[in-house]
Amino acid sequence: MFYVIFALLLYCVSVMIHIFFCRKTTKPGLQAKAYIIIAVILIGVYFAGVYTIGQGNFLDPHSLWGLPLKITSGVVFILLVPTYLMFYALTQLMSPSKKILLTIASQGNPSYADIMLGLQEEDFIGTRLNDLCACGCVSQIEGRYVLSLSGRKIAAFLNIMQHVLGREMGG
Amino acid sequence: MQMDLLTVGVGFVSFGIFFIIHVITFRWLRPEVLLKSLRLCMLAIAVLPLMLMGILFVNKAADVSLPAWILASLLALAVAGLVSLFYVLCVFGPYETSVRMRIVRELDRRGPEGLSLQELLGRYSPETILNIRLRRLMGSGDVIEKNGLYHSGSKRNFLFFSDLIAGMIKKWIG
Repeated sequence: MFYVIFALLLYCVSVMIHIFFCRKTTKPGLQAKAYIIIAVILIGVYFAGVYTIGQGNFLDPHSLWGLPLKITSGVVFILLVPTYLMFYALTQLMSPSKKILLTIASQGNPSYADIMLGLQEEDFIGTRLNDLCACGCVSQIEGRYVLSLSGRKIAAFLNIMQHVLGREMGG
Repeated sequence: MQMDLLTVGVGFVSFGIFFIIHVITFRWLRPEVLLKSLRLCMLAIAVLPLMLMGILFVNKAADVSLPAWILASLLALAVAGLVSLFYVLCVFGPYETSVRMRIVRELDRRGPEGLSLQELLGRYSPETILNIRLRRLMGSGDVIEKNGLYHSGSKRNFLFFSDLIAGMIKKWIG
């Protein structure tokens, strides 16, 4: 039980430090890298703490409190890191499905055309294409969009996934 | 140590079983039943680690007390759930629903020539996005269509839930 609480506490601390960092930073955009650095440091603190406690024999491994679920608690901590990042990314991202649900919720009973209007306002394809150009996955050459090397790598991964999952293109 | 490895192992084995079932069955699923099937799979993943830990407990795989087994089972459930969530939201979700990934695949299909914006919109337009998403949302019961008008179905869907958490984080960040 101790190791679980220890890991969860450190996870909460990592989230709090990141929120504090986001409040203070003047940099625009997502601060995902900052959270990854904070989380890696605190995961290191967790394993250092586990090692120290193990050396000191402070806990009775036969009691529920001292049950040595060290690796499990560490794995839960590591898995909670991308979980937080996924929800954090949503603070600045709007997905088409979310936009459709929000349009329906705000307008009551909209028609297909009303929902389409809401969707077109967001310009999902244009903004995503610009993002892909900004991150270097797509290059714009003489008015045509072409995949760069990193974009081709992503496409190759997606093609492998299509073989494994056997599903057609979504979107 | 033995109980620790058993717990992590059960968590990952449960995810492995979920993944195998997912790979075998999801290739035949139509987009409209995708969300519903995913929810069912996630429910199954909640039962699987508890069942596996139950089998290990009956076979006395580790010499620990019953409360320790209960705690380990809950942690195995957490591991399996978090790995599945990671897979669904970071791997399968983007593959199936991301606009960016669809653009990358459309450009990849065209090859080194690439596509102009007009050509891209001819293959993948806002109308395509809306049709795919509406089919998916209506199939899961999140959106209901009646006489050409759309209204919200179930409010307890993952999108509203994730929006709620994201809203909380946004509020804290300020």
